[in-house]
Amino acid sequence: MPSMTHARNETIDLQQKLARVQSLLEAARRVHSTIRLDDVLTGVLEIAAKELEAEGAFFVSASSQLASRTDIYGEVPDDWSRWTDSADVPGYTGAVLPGERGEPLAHLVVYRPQPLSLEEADFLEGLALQSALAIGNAQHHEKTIEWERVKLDLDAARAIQRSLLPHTVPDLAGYSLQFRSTTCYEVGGDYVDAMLLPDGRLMTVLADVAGKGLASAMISTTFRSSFRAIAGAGLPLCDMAARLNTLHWEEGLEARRRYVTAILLCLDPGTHSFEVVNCGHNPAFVVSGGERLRIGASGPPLGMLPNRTYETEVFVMNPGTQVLLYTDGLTEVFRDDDEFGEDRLMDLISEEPAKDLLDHVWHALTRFAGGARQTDDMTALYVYRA
Amino acid sequence: MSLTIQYRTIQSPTTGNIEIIRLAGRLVLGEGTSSLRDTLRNPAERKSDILVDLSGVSYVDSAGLGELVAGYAFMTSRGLRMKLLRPTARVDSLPHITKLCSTFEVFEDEATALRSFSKGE
Repeated sequence: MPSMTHARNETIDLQQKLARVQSLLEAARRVHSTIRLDDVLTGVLEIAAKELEAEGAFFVSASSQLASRTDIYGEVPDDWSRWTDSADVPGYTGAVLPGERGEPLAHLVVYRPQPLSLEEADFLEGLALQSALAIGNAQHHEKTIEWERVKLDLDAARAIQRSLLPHTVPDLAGYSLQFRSTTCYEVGGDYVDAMLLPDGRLMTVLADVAGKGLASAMISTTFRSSFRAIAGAGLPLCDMAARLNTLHWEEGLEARRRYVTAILLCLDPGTHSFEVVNCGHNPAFVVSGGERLRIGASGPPLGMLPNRTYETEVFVMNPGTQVLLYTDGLTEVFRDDDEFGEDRLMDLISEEPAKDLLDHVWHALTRFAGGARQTDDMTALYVYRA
Repeated sequence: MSLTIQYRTIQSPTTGNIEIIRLAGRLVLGEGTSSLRDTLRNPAERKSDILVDLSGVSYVDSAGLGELVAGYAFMTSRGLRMKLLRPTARVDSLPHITKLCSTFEVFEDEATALRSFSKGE
């Protein structure tokens, strides 16, 4: 009865194929049941070896990240490392794990002295495909967790940096002092500070570390420590600048690369005058009695070059006199190729002091940028005599 | 536009070897500053004076300026000289703001710049 034998063989064949499909489905379920990369890798090797009754299984990958995370499962001969996808080494069968763009991510290789049947080779390929998907998911999961950790760090850094801004605005009779600072990333390299000295004078600083982001934020914190440490030492302002320059320069090459442009301003309410030193910073604006002045730099940025000297300028603070210090993030806001610039900023200051000047400035900059994302840290300090 | 860097070496009995490094594009934090750092600070290759041609640079930010100054400091610490050629207006404003004109020697034409490297000058 050849036809019955043939039918029985076909039935057995179909049953075997069905069993393979079932085992592949079960393998896929197990492979996808975890998003931990190490569990995925170990699980795939175990399934491959057990289902194919192989003596051992392993991954071969050019990616050191994957290669370093898997061991050989089971037993394979010492020559296992000879296997490559182009070398036909007896006893080994490999299947490619395609990456997201179809590039080979790795190879799943089993060792079994008896060659794999066609169905078994199909199973290995199917398992490799499922493995590639599961590994991709697990790696994505790992990156997400890592990013969350970095983000938590950045959030903490941001909270610390915000806490280092002056907690309260020093109260000076007859004067008003305001400041505002916004960063373009989580943390920034701008620094503004104000403190009352024991002799009743108000010491302020507005500084901008070259670059932006976390590295500049770290440098700005170092700069803050130096500034705070010597602010109350009673040094003339120009000597303070020279000292800050030396301290920053001595921090080394990375700090020098991230030099600091700064304006130091010390207001004496007793004499109604202020001293100012501009260290490589944008000009400060003074508006007083119809006059508009710009206080330019008297020396290079702090920490850029050794042994520099700076000059102090002294101005009278008449009633109605306004002073605006700002970082270049304000003047370098662009609308296409048009830069906001110093002149537009100066024009925002009217003859009479305005309590809401900084609100007005930030609003004008946002309108000018047309809703475009902020590209630099922006900080300003505004002081006027009522 | 990212930063592109071209090299040219001038040999002269009066000045010795001078490498002209022509920068074009934006010298800003990131790829631009990294490329310039690698170029200026490779001690194995850095044995001659440098003239940095900035005529093709459209914009320099504070980090770019920091890299130029760091390169200058690196060169002078090794007894070598670095000078600037033809900064454009947008670039020119930064050194003025930061009072760096006295640090960098800046030239408007290449011939004068090259002559300035003559021994004894």
